[in-house]
Amino acid sequence: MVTWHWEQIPQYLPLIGAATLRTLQISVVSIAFGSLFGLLAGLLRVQPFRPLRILAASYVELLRNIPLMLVLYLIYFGAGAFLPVSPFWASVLGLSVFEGAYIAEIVRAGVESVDRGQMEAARSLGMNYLQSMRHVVMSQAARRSLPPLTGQFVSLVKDSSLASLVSYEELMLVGRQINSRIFSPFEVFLTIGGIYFVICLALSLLSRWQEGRLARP
Amino acid sequence: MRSTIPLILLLVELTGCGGPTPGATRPSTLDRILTTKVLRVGMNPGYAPFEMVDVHGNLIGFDVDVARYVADQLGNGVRVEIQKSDWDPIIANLNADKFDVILSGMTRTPQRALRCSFTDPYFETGQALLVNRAKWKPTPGLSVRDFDRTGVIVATKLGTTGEIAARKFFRKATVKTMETESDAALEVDAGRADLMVYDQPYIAIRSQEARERTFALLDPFTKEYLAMAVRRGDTEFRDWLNLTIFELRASGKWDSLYQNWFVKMPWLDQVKRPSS
Repeated sequence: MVTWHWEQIPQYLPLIGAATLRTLQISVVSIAFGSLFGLLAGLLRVQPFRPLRILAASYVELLRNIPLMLVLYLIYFGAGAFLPVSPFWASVLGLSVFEGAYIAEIVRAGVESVDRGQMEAARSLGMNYLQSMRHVVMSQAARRSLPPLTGQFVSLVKDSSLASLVSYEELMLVGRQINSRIFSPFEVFLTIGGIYFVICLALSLLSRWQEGRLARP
Repeated sequence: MRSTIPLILLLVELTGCGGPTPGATRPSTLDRILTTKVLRVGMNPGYAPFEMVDVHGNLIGFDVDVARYVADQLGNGVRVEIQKSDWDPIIANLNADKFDVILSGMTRTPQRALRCSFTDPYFETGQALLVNRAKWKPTPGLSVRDFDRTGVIVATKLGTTGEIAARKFFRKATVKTMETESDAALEVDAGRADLMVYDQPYIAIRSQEARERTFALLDPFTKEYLAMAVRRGDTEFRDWLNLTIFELRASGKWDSLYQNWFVKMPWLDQVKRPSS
């Protein structure tokens, strides 16, 4: 028999609210840096200079084949022994480097989905490589990459819960702190789960709206 | 028609409708242990010297020996089966019948006792401090109060009485909750926290290990009583454990365990990594 203790939750709403803001904060900053790393690595993987291509491929393969939790531990506890690194920036670095590897693949797939002839046509019109990339290829690739990118951003928001392991007081950690005080795991984690759901759903809806705008000529 | 009355009486008796049922319907934990010959003990390893993993991966510690003592008292060839659990869901795991008793250096508190039932204490301790040497100097008058300032970072383990004490005694400081006690100690080692609040025995050992970077304030500033926990309402098993804890102390076994795990500490070599 389950006895609900929902009446325990309201007193912790201010704490949960502050934690929600920190989850949003770390997610937004990590999405920004992650996109930057991903865009850079993705573009390096499709450009003609081989050493840089290999470098970007190594980054992607390395990060995609180890757990995020381990990356966070390496940065916070490993590198943290020599460099002063705060839980926030350790988490941002871990999340953005990790998710950047996945974003790189999305960018690469997007660019490769654009017909090779488009690039050739742009070059024959006298644009240089960067101009063709930017004005012709990327503008089409961006549109196609948006749905998978949204999925990745949603993943990142959920993965930010792992920042709790390096003591960043985001939603998950605050949820666990509250649960250790009132011992009502269902009530606490359903509340926390609801907040994650709303954030991620809003992100998906935002991107669908954006997709519609991009689809217009 | 005559035969119906005894039949009704029989039904009343069988279904237990006739009055209060003698004894609870839940099967006796004690009987089940004696039948299966297995005492399932829930532990959260990492809390030296109560439960820790040695170089071979075996669980050793004061609590492990107490569990063995309990099994010996059960007799009948009962053996200990240790079930590892994370700390914050350990009471939930007990209630989910993953083990019969929690023996994991757990402090009894009224809040926890709403979810499980505690035995008499088998160990008395309190909270102590592990302090970073680069940030604080070990002066004679230094006390707990001196650390309650804005800007001071206090590390502890999530969901422990260390966290409760940290939030109570360091209201102006920032409390940082870590996954394990060794993560919290690392925060102090690396200077990411000024100090760590945790149970005195752990702080005593940890400060020995990192003497150049940390020092300890070992006088406990809280009083805590470690006890075993059973499921709420499991009074028969709890009563039996209480008697066994009394015997543990009366027989002198407790003192010899204390000597081994807290005074002579021959086990230090067993948990040391080759490199350190």
